[in-house]
Amino acid sequence: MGRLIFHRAAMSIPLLLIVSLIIFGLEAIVPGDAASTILGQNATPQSVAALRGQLGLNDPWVVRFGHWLGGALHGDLGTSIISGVDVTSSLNGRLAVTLSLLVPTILLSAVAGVALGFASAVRGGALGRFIDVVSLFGFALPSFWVALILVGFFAVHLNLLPATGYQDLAASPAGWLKSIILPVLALSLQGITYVAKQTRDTVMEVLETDYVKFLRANGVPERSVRYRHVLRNAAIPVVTSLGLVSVGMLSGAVFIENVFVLPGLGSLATQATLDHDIPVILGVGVFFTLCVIAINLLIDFAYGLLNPKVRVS
Amino acid sequence: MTTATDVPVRRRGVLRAVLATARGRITAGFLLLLFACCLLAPVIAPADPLHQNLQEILRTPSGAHWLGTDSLGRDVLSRLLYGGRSSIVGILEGVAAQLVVAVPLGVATGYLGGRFDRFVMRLADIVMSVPVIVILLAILAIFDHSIAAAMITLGVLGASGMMRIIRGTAMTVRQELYVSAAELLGLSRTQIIFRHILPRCRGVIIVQTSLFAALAIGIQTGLTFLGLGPPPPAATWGGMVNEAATTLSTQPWLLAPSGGLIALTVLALGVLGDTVRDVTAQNHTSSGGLRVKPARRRPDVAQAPVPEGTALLSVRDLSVSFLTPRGEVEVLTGVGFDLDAGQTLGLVGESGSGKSVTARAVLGLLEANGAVTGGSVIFDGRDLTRATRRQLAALRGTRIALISQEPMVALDPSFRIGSQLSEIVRSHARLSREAARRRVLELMEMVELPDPEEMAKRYPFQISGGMAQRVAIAAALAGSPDLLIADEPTTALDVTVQADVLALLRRLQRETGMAVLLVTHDWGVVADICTHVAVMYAGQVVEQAPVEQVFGAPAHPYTAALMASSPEKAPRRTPIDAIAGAVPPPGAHPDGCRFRDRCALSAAECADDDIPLVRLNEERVSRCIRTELLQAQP
Amino acid sequence: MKGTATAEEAAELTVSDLVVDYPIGRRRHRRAVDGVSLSVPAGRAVGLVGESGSGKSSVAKAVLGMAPLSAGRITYGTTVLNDLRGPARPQDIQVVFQDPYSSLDPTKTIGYTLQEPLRAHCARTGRSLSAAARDELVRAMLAKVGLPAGTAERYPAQFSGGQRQRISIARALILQPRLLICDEAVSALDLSIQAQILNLLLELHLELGLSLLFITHDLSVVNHVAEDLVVMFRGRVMESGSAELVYRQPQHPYTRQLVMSAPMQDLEAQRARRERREALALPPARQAPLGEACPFAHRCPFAVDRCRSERPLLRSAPLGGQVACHLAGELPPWSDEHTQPREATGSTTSCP
Repeated sequence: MGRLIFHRAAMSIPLLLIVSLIIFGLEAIVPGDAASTILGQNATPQSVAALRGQLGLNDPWVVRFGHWLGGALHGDLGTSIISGVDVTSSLNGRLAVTLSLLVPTILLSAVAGVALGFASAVRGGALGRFIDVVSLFGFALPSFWVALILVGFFAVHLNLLPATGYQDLAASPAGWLKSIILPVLALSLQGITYVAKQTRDTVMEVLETDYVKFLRANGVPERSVRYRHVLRNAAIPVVTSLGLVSVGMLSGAVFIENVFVLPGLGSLATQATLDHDIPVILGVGVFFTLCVIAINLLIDFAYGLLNPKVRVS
Repeated sequence: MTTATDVPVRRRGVLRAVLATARGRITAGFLLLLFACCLLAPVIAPADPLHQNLQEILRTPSGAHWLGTDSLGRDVLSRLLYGGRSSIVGILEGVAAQLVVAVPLGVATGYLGGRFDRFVMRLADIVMSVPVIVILLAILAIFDHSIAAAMITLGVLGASGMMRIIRGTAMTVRQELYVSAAELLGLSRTQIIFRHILPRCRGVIIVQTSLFAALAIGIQTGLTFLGLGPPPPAATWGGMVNEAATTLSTQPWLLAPSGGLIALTVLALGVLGDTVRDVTAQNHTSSGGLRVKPARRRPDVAQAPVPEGTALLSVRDLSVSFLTPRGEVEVLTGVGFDLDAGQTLGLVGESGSGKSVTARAVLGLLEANGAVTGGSVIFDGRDLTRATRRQLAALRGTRIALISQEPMVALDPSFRIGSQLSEIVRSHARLSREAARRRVLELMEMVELPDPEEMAKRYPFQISGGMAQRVAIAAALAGSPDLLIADEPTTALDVTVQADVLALLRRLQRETGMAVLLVTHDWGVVADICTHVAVMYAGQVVEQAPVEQVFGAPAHPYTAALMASSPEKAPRRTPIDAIAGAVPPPGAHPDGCRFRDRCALSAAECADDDIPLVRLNEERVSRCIRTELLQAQP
Repeated sequence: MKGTATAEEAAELTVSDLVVDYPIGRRRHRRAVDGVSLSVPAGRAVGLVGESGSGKSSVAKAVLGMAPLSAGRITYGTTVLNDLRGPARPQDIQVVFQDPYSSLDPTKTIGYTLQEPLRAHCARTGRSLSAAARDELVRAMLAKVGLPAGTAERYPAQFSGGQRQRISIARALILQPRLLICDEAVSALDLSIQAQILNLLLELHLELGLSLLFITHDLSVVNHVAEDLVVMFRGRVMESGSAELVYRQPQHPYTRQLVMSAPMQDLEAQRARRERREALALPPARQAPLGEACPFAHRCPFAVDRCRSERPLLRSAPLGGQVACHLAGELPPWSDEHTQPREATGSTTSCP
């Protein structure tokens, strides 16, 4: 158990390295660089060269990577080539927004997904078929489109909730809640349906196992069979699927933040992409990677609690 | 129900099997049509996708514009067709990149294993954790909004998931004995990969490809939605959703064509993947991978009278059917026997005889696709086939208990042995935690488990099969049942352990006086522990009698032939008196006597009618009309 | 079947001091076979019997080049098999496995499965064999194992377990091997089908002079087929000798317990066995770790201190054969009238 978590934590270092290396390496092999991007197409070669020197772009990319890495280890992720703002501090300001979106979404996906999936597997019949169909649509409908439909109905048509914008949790809890309801709903549709489908499949499998038959045949009450034994044994695959879907939500968050104009990491990364602002993208990459590592650690921890084989060995 | 039925179904190619299903035809047809229309957009599109007409903006569908016009008066249908081209090209690039990386690596790691496998898997673990979206954004920034570069990157990064699954399949196939046989017959590794490993991976590759294509569409449209694709006048599906968003309050219709088409495409790819998965699962398993609804109980023509006998368990005319992919199949036909307190009835037969189904039907625990279609199971004067779920539940454990064939899988792997036993104890009687603990230790001592205190702390995977079966017996006896159903309780155990478990069962039965219904295929086990035997063949009881009479002189040709098939009964290294042929699968029984095709005594009259059970003496019946010929034999 | 393959003389398979370790985790390993020696002389049927964990299947795997050898030597005639893998191995040794379902590739026709070794063989030896000749060989082989000619065009899913096992036997025999290893080849089959397959194997063995290494947990099966018996327990050989002797006059306490535990299909005989066994039964005990002790000491009713501290070596037994027991010759005499040769009593069944 401890070893597993240590193993996972140790893997986060190569993971961070790989993410930053991919971005750095690609930037180095592609012709054209930040200097000409900043100055635009009408810039003179002299001004580009001057800016290159100023940005340190004349060094080989390995050296620049070393510089960046050295800074990153001290919490300094460089400065934006567009605004010149310190990347670390601008990301810190936006992390809360992205987490306000992600954490409720993951929780909602877990609770609603497991409840729906479990109920449909145990009840079967119409509810089961309904979950099957809904999970197909949850899988098929692009989240940004769902978000627009939600905005069209709840914000434009009913005027119940704000269409865009974000309120700080500390400043106005009610405003915060209002501002994240629609984004969370849009983003969790896929998560809920995916977790529900996985739960349904796993629970149906566990219901067919010999030990469930054995417990039933020897008089253990159905309630205990379901909520103690089936739920517990179905939990491991369900937790795995929750982990996968949570990592996938980072992509969805980028789209959703743009739809709702939330000032989070995703919308920052999008703007940086349009501006060719590589240091900012790198910074977001580091933050997102840390999010993935945190999710994986939580999943491993859950494994340890759920699986006696992990716990005992 | 462990045997594959011999219905001559030719194996089909995956593609043809998919197209044979309605889902497969619809989704594949839709995708092909979409591909063709987008490809032929310059020919079939009704208008120039860039042609603006400010007189006709934001129109709803009409004859001139089937899907309406956008905020610049451009024809939506034409823009969808042109926009689809970039999406399709994007999918193809991503899928190609993924296949190139995932298939060779997956097959190689799965089949070869070893250090190479560990290295690649470690790398794949890391890649699985890479936040893909950030890499894609970086690619788009570096390669100046090149969707192609982004999709290829997506394919490469996404390959780790597909590789894992191919690797898993390849590893499973590598374990198959036919791969070992091919190695022993001198085939090279390359030959084995191409002939035996890859063909079995085809299904998962198609499934994963279609799922990935669905994901790729989502990402591609998302990126173009953010404006990171081709610059504005060009039509893209995501871009069209974005344009629709700007006119959300004035013309919400515009969201429908673009979003709807994206959703339909993803849906079609997803359903196609599911279909392929179902079809390939069916090709490799005999059960067809189908979950089916239970068959209905046949309406009773006449209420079967409860027999006046006083037996503890009395099964009368019991019929059970299963709904299979090939229709409803009757696996038990008119099964009947009696069992009294203190007796042990051996239900003997080969696979396909219906002996295990009988045991489960008595308990009311048939699989979801099976149901009792006739007859009765009278336990202590009550018909269990008509009992409610609640009434059955109340009987289980306290009146009727079960131990099953695989002790290791009969115990819940997530709970300690002590806690499982304690739960069962407490579900039979209101006991305090401490009283329950004492009762558990008492039970464990009763089944002769060494060191009960320590054993109670263990998980099922930490004990041996013989110990697990003792735990299972302890669990079954916790409620002091009157009837114990033992479904092949020693088949999975070694002979020395089997002897111990049989001795334990005999002792416990002597002490408690319970009746035991023992399902087995082993005449030695019958000789060891049973007082009575019911021999089953092809879903019927063919003979029932006390053991002394059956072992003394079998009264049914099948009983005699089955006993003679044992190698014990032939001189060493000479041919055994084997029965020719095999048990016919359910649903393919011959008319008349079901055994007549394989019977040495069969005559014309054996085919005429269903053979009734013939009563030979007070305690003995045989389903044979020529049984006196058998008795006449030396 | 004449003159198509190299009709070499059969040779003796010799396994000496074989040790097989399977890695578990990183540094640790589990010893499955611990110094086993046995031989299968040309044309003879040798039975290897043991319970799960005895290492009997690991011996088969080692002979087939499918298990890691830590020590020992495996030879077939003059060829050392130890490090030969894949196509380099002699095709004279073939195998029939336990699971008839996993033994055949579900995506290939039976004809393809049977022709594949022929094609590989031709490619290896540079000999050419026309498609018609291959078809003919396959047909002949199918007939030999008792399957209709139309079998070749069909897929495995269309056959029952017994039929699949016949196909596996046909595949194993198509290159005309001299030694057939049967690794629990009839254990998964129903009694009536098991009898059919045993008859087929015996017929092939007697008719073709095929050597058999017959591995099983079932005493009655192995006693029916084998001329010699080797009894294994926890990776070691406990007793070996002629099958008649080992089954009728077991000299090792473990073999005796094995014989007494196998239930007999006869009420009187089984009652006698059971009573004998119960008279000698010990309460269930934890398995002691292997080391310098007799692996059976914790379950042996005759064990003395020496058994727990000194490993008994295989040595010549008083009545013949070999036995690994310190007390060999000092045990109470064994008489089990129901394991007497049935040729002598002969009246239990009527054999046409």
